[in-house]
Amino acid sequence: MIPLLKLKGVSKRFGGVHALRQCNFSLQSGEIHFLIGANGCGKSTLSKIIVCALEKDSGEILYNGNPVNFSNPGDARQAGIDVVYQELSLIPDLSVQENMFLGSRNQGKLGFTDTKAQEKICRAALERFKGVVSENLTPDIPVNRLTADERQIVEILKVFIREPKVIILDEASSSLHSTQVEILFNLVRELKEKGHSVIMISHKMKELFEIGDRATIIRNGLTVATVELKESSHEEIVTHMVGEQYFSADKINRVPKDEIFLTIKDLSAGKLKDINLTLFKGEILGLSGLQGQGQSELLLTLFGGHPEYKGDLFLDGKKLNLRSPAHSVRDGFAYISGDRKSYGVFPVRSILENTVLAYLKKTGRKFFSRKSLRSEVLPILERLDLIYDNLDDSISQLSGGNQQKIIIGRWLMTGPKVILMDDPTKGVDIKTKEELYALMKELCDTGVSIIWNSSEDQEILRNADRVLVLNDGWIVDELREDRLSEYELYKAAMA
Amino acid sequence: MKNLKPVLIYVKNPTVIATGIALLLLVVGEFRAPGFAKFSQIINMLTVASFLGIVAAGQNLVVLSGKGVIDLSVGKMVTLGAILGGAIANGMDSGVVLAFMVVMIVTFSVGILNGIGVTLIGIPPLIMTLSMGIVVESMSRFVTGGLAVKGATPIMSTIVTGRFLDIPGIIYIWIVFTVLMIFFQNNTRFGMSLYNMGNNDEAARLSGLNVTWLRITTYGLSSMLAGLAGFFYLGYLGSIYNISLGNKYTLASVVAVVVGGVSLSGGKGGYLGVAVGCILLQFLESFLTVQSIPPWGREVIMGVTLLVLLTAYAREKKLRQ
Repeated sequence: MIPLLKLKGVSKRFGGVHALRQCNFSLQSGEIHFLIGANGCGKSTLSKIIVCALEKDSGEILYNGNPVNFSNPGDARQAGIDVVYQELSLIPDLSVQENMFLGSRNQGKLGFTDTKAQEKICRAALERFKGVVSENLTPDIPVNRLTADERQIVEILKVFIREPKVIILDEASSSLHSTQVEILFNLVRELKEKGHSVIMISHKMKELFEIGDRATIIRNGLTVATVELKESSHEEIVTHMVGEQYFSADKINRVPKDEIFLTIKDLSAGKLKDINLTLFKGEILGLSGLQGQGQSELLLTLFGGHPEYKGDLFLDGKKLNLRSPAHSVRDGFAYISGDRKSYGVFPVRSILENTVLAYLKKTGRKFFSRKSLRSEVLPILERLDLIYDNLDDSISQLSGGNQQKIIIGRWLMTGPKVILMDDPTKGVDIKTKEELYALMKELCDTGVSIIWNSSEDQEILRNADRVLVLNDGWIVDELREDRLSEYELYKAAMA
Repeated sequence: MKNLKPVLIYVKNPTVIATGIALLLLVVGEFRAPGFAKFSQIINMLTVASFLGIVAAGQNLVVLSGKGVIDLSVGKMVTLGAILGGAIANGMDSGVVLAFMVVMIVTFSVGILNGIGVTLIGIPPLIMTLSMGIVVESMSRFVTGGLAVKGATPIMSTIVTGRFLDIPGIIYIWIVFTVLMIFFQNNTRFGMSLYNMGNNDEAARLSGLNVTWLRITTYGLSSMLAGLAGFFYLGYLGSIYNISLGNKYTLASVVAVVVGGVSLSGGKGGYLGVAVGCILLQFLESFLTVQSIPPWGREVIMGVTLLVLLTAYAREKKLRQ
């Protein structure tokens, strides 16, 4: 039987990074096929290449046995391949109905839209989700008045009403409630019965085994295996995902002091649910799991980004009130983001200015001479082994790694107690990364504690003392010592 | 070629460019109308420029704070400063201190309202400050009650126009003011914060700064400086002849700031450049006057100058990316 859709040797590079290498994938008619893999393995890239939201560098795509070359997602849609994106693509001010028919062909005569006919289809589609969404969800309500899950439902229905031959669901269920997911699955099964095919990207093992026929596992841009789900197991899939077990020979087990530093009790904020954790003095505590499960949000909450949080926090015995970054800085927190451009550097300002602002604020100094600032900054920059010409040079002249060192320097000057790091090594070269790990350990030896979120599983397993795995805003597992492995990590993250 | 690099950086510095053009104008002016570059004439031009210098300082700070904020109420605030000062002092030297205090407090408060509107309420800066300008103009009208307000008191005139070594007081005031501004921008946390938040608002907030409060205060300072300029302007004019006397400062302050190398997107440009920009603008205006170009023609040229500069800077920004 000719597969409905077949990818042969598809590759894609972003700059020097191979996102996909010689990927093969085949989809049968009437099949529900999962794409799974670890963080940044290339799942989303692959799905984008199928509909030509991204252009492939090489390889071939066969559709119904014929090579196709779409030039944009519109072409793919014409051919019957459509995607429900993870990032929402709705227009907030338009109504549900208008959004649903955006980009579809007209329903009426002479090129006019037949709003009556549209409304009928729209109502029928919404009817499917009756009972699991609020009464609010009607064809004429503007999308910006809907909740996140209702928006996702509109997004899903927008694609389903077109009844495409191939439908790609990119983590479409992640923002839905379980009752809503049931209905989504019914829709998927109906399509399947009609002989249509569905590609699903999901991190939930439960869903995978509940509804999937086959799964293709991607690891580091390679399609490593395609398995029949009836004959497979959770363990087999995780093993494919993480590959050869990585044993950290160079892992030195540091022993943090047995002194509780930060206690978080029943913290809820935004996506976070009932977070309970303790951080020891001098400890590097890793946050891991699949990306976007609340790790960044936890760090931001601690840094005063969610003033409406619920829960109790104690640092060094003192109760905290996380109202704003200014409060958190005063309490002894520091925040370092991997997104330096948005949250870190002042690009046209000098190295000196980039280093001192938080320090001046925390120490309450209102006036200064540049000369004395220089002499205060120098020891810190020396400690960071920073190579630069002149303190008055703009920070943009430095490499990403060195910029990140300056940001670390900015916080070291404030004498922080807890450093919050949100994927700090993003875009940093390997040598500097190693220096940063060493620095983190050195800092912790002096009594600072670090909470560290990383999207690079290897680095966190190798360098953190303890790793908490987050899933959908909950802490689902705590890995330590010999359980610090990718296998354990993904087993917990995808349960 | 390598040796040229430092020289090039120097030549591309907006302050240096503005200074060069200002000197060029003096030379050309002297050729076209002998006496244009005479000492007394230059002093006259600097005297007039000093008021704009104080107004533009406020504009400088507001623009620095970033997020595309701007203060288009400064012209009306100059008028308010002059009229309120005149009305309260009521021609008597004994009332000058009180008049000064009231002008400072009132204009600062109005500026705070501008800041609150822009930051907390989220009104676009152009709309907020233009509307506030209209309110302020009505306040000025209310203070005058449609009648003539008493003019400057003797001491006000003396401070502004009284000469020492042939140079009027206002120029000394402006020099001291310039030094203070430069100190403020380079050696205070507030000043440095403005640069940094203008550069990256979110990073500044995450460094523990209260960017909202800083921006509100900056609007307050801008209005207050405009009020201060108006107060001095009254001393210079002696009497108020027109409710629209400050209007020209709105556009002029923006032009001066841009000429001085301040980026309208924030975070870049110091007061020295702005001060030179003010002098350049005054030289240009005087030059055009000597060339018998009527007031409307001068305004056209001012507007075109701003557009040309903005085009040039926009291009530079594109090139950098």
